[in-house]
This record gives sequence, C-alpha cells and structure tokens, in this order.
Amino acid sequence: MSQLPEEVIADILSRLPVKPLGQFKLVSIPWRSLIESPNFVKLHLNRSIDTKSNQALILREEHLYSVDFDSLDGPVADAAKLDHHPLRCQDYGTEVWGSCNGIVCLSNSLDTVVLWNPSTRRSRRLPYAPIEFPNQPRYFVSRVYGFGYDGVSDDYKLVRIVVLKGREDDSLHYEVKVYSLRSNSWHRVEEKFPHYPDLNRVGGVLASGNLHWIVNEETERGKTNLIVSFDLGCEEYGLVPQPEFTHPRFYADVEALGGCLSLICNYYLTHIDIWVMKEYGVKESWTKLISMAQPGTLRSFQNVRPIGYSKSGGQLLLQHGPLKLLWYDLKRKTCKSVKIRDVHDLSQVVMCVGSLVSLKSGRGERERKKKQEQEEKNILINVVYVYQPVAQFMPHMLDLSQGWFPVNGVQTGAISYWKKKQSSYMAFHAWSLVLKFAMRWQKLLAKEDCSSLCTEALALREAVNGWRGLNTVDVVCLVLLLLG
Amino acid sequence: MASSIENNNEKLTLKSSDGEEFLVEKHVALQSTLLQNMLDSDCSSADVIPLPKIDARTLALVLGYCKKHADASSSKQGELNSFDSEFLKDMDMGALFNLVLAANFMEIKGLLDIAAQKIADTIKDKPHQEVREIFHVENDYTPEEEAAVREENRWAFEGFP
Repeated sequence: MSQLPEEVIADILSRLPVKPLGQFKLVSIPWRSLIESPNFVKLHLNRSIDTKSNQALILREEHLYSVDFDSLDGPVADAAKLDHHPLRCQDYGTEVWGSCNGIVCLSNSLDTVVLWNPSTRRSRRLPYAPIEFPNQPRYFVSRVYGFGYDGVSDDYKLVRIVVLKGREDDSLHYEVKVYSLRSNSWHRVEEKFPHYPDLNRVGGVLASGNLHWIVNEETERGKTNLIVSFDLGCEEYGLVPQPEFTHPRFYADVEALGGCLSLICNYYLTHIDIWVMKEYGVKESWTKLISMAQPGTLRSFQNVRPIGYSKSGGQLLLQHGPLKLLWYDLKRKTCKSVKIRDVHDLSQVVMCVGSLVSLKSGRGERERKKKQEQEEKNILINVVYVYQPVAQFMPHMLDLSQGWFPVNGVQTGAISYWKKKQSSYMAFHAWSLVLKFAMRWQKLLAKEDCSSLCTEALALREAVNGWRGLNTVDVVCLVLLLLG
Repeated sequence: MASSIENNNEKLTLKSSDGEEFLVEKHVALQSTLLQNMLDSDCSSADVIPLPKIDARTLALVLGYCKKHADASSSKQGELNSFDSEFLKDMDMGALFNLVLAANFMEIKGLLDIAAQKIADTIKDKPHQEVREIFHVENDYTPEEEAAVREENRWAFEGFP
C-alpha cells in the first residue's frame, strides 16, 4: 500500500472532530507535529466552518452545557455538562461573552476573565487590567467585553469597555482596553469616539473582524439606533451603514449569523424583521431574511434572536425569549420547536465550533508564567476596584454585617478596611466567600501562620476544584487584607 | 469547461504505472486540473501522458469517476451524490488510499474530497493503535514520551481504556 504524503494526511485528518485528533497525536511524532502545527489548526478550523461541522451550542443555565449542533435535528437533543471549565462554580456569576474560532470568553462574578477552548479544555486566564483614570472619585457603572480574531495580526483580542460616573457631576467616563493574546497584555485605546455602547446590553458581536454594539442616540428626530463597530485589526471605531427602513421606530439588536452581521428590528406588538448584511460594510447588501408578524408564525414573542443556519442552510435556529429554541424554515416560513433535555433556561446561547486553536501567547512560556504570577497578586485590586454592583447599598450592607460577620477580628478588620478604602468596593459574593474561608482559618490567622495558611488554601482550593476562578494568592490576599 | 465541449471527440492517451494505456475523451480528462494544465500548455494530445504513480486498477476507477462527472449535467446533483457514495461503497482501505493519492496527484478535487472524507469517517472512531496500522506509520515514541503525550491529551481519551 502506498504511503500517503503529508498534505493528503492533513486533508484527511482535517475532516475529523477534535477528540479523535487529540488521540491521534499518539500515532507518531510526525503526526503529533502535524496536528499541532498552526497551518493544520487553521485548515481544520476553516473546514469545520465551511462545512458547518463540529458545531455546538454552549448554554449557560446553572452550569455550562454543550449541545452538538447536529443533534438539534432530532426530537430531543442531549446536553453535556461542561464541568471542566476554568471558572466552574455553582453560582450564577459565570458569564459567556462570546465565542470565536472555538475559543469561548468567560468571566465570573469577581471579573476574572478567561479564554477557554472547550474542545481541548485548555484555558488562559487573562492578566489583571487596572482601570486607569486620573485620580478623581468615580463610581463604577458597568463594563462589557467583546472577543474576536484579528486576521491582520493573526491574534485573538478581547475588548473591555468600562463606564465610570463622576461623583460630583454624574458625567460618564469611558475606558477602552484591548487584550492581545499574542502579547498576553492589555493596552489602552486612546482614540475618542462619539458613540459609546449602551453597556446595559450584551457584549460585542463579532462579524468580519469587527465587534459591534447598538447605540441609542437622541437626535432632533427622536431616538435612533446606531450600529457601532470596532475594528480588531486597526483598533478603530466606525459606524456600520444600515438598511433603508420603511418604519424607523423599533428596538434594534445585532447578532452574528453565519459569519455575517445581522440586525434584528423589533417593532413591538406588530412584527420582527431580521436583516443580514451579506457583504460587510456594503449598505446595499442588507437583505431581509425574515419578517414575522405578531401574532403569526409564533403566537407571541418578545424577543427573537437568530443563532445559526442548519447544515443545509434551509433552516435558521432562533432563540425565542429565554425559554425556547426554534427551527425556522426559511422557505416554508414555518417553525418547529427544539427540545433540549434537562436544560430549561436558554437565555445564554452561544454557537461554538470545535477547534484545536491554542491559547499560547507569543511570549516564552516561562516569562509568561512569571508575569502572570505577578499579575495574579494584583488581582485583588481588580476585585476591589472593578466590581461593585452593590455600590449604593454598601453602607447598608455594612450595617447588616453585625449579623453576617460572626468572627470579631475579621469583622473589625473588614470594617476598617472599608473605611480606609472608601472609594473602592468589593463584590458582595467575594465577601461572603472569603469570610467563609476566614472562619475556617481563624486559628491560623490568629497565629499569623502564613505558610500553613497557604498550604491550607492550596488544599482547599484543590478540594473545591479551582474555587470559582480564584487562585491561592487571591484567597490569601483577601483573607490577610480582611485582617487589616 | 465550455471549450472542451467543442472538441468533444478529441481523445488522449494516459499510461498507468504498470504500463496499461487508457484512451480518454478530452472532456473527461479535463476533470483533472493536472491534465487540464498539461493540455493548456504545449503538451499535444497526440502524446501519451504517463502517470507513473497510478496503477491501472486505480486509474480505471478514477476515469470512471471522471466520466460520470463530466457527462452529468449540473442539474443532476442528486444523482451524482448517490453515484459518489455508491462508488466508494465496499472499497477497502488500500484501494481508498490509492484513489486519494491519484486524486491528489491528478488534482481532481471532487474525488479527493469524497475519498478523504470516506477515510476520515472510517478512522474517526478507531483507537490510535489501529490508525497507526491502517496508515502504516511506525510508532517512533519512547514509552515515556507516549505516556507524556497521552497525559497531556487526557481529555481526548475519556471513555477509552
């Protein structure tokens, strides 16, 4: 039998799912090099995208689940629990910000951000990124992330937009930072832009190397929707041209659909239009994919969101409100409901392709580790500074804390810490968790036995499986700080 | 390939590695990008084109595929699809390998696609030891290295002993 040349082996292997490829690395050393080579990873990824294979839905209910996209054709699809993700936890704090080329971006309630490839189970925790503003008292209002691939520099980038409100004058201040996987570092985007996204809404939507947000602006003619873009390559903002609407008054949303940007126009109580921009940036290429009257195909709907096309392209998977998935037949204009066993909340659904894309940065691994260690020590500041959803209620919480903090030393420490750091706030989650730990370690703390504390923290962390994305340093730092 | 239709009757001769000659209609041969390029350049169709890497049995299969695809009109996609799946049915790995090599050498994209996909589908659920045998690959890992790579890719072996 003939020996196959490498290009033919690559062609054959690029048609396989990720799991057998992981196994076939054991065939031989050349096979492993081939499967891990960047060219093969790209070949495999592009084939999966082109043939709509290796696709899965990532769902977040209480846990993260994955559902094989092809199995959605059947009467009931099975969801596999993803109990190996890097921020695994029981709370509701894990947010899925988006997915690109098989990498999913997650954050937890302490605003730890990770990039994660669920197929290969590799992940990378992002370094801490401080909010850098001139030293004026400001409230943190919100932050939003957008994740995508920059084809220009062959890099994965995460964009963070933070909004702060001035204490005195209620003015809004924005900070935009970009994380580059290649350099494993954050940098600030200095360019000013007149339209900032409405950050109460979802993360940036990726299409054609740009992230997109909807911005509502008050003009003389009333409220208008703008589609704002951020080019991941040149890191510049732009406005995306929109179709000509017959009725301009609607609630707008953007989604990515089959690699294109899609615009959802929701005319409450009457109908929903879903548009697709077939050629990126070209106004004339906007095509109305679906127009659904209400009541009509669906008896009633509040929110409809396109997720992806079926393999044949004839059907469109729609998310209908927070509880339903539907196949919409584009020709016959009919709907068929999709059931997923044991998963009921479908409010966070992300399409994800199975890929071998690695999360290695350009830097040397050792240097990276050292840097990350340093950064992890800083993460506490991140926790304290960035995350404060309960800012307004904090004094009230502290009053309540008499009942909450049964450990006297810790309580006093905590309060004095709050007094010292009045401008900063900490997530309430973090508080209660750390206090739980602090109580366990009360004895060690009293003796100021830090090394035992570290050992204990390690053991405990091991026991609770990575403990909500916090690392040992974070835990110890938090506890020690509580001591004042 | 509109130009090929005008010269429908032209034929050319292909010679397999084991010396067998095949007379092929030009429009059939044009399914192969390699042959197309040869014909576009100076190569005269009177010449015998040697295909030193392809044996007669494989070449006959390849030409059968090309003929079907060259003769079928584009409207008969469904018919072609069923021909394709029937074409590879019951073919053993050795024949598939020869076919994929020939398709790669002669640059017949459609055939390369279906043959490579068939091989991929066959090995998808096989353990790596078996895949090693199928591809005649020598295991050049030391036991320690193999264990290390296995450990590194433990996620891929869930459900396997």
